[in-house]
Amino acid sequence: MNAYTKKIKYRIGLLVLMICASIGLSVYDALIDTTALKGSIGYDFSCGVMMAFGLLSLVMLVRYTRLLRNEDLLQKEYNKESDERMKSIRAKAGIPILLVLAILIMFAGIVASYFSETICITLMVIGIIELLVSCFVKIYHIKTW
Amino acid sequence: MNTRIKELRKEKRISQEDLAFAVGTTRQTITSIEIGKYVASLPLAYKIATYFSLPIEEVFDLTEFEKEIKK
Repeated sequence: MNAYTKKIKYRIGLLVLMICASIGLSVYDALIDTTALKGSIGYDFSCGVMMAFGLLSLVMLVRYTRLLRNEDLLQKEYNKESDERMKSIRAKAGIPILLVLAILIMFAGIVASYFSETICITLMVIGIIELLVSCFVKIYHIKTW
Repeated sequence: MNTRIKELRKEKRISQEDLAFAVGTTRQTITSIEIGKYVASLPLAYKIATYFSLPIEEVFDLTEFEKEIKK
């Protein structure tokens, strides 16, 4: 449990960095003139993603902080994360690698948006479909196991 | 795989949630094990059996695996 508590604290540190980065980029966007970039799909999408990450990080930060204050909740969360059945389901749905691939594809889409909107949209749709397929496979295995 | 977990839980008057918490797993996993959809790993099976102070063979029905052994 000590190792898990350290892991949670490490995650809290990362989430704080994410929130600071999100706020920093929002302030930059508001103060610095980026009219040349604004309006392009890639720029708008990346702003949206950054904002979403910031909000999600805030929610996760509140959740993890609550966990550290309550031993029972921390134990339940640890049980949930280390549950063997869920680990097998996640492995079958290819979740770790699919998430990384989806993020890489979306990042490639953002970069491609500065050259071709068609490629950008195609890559983003592929990333979204990938995540949806993984989601459905996970739900299927949860129901059948 | 059939198990006696539900019967043993009712004797001890504990919920699936309590058992899951005690053995370090989730309620959904205990449910899946009870209805025979999921086969617990050896460490988890051992934890469950130890919780009920019984040997593994008395909690889990292992006869189907015995039949698979070719002697």
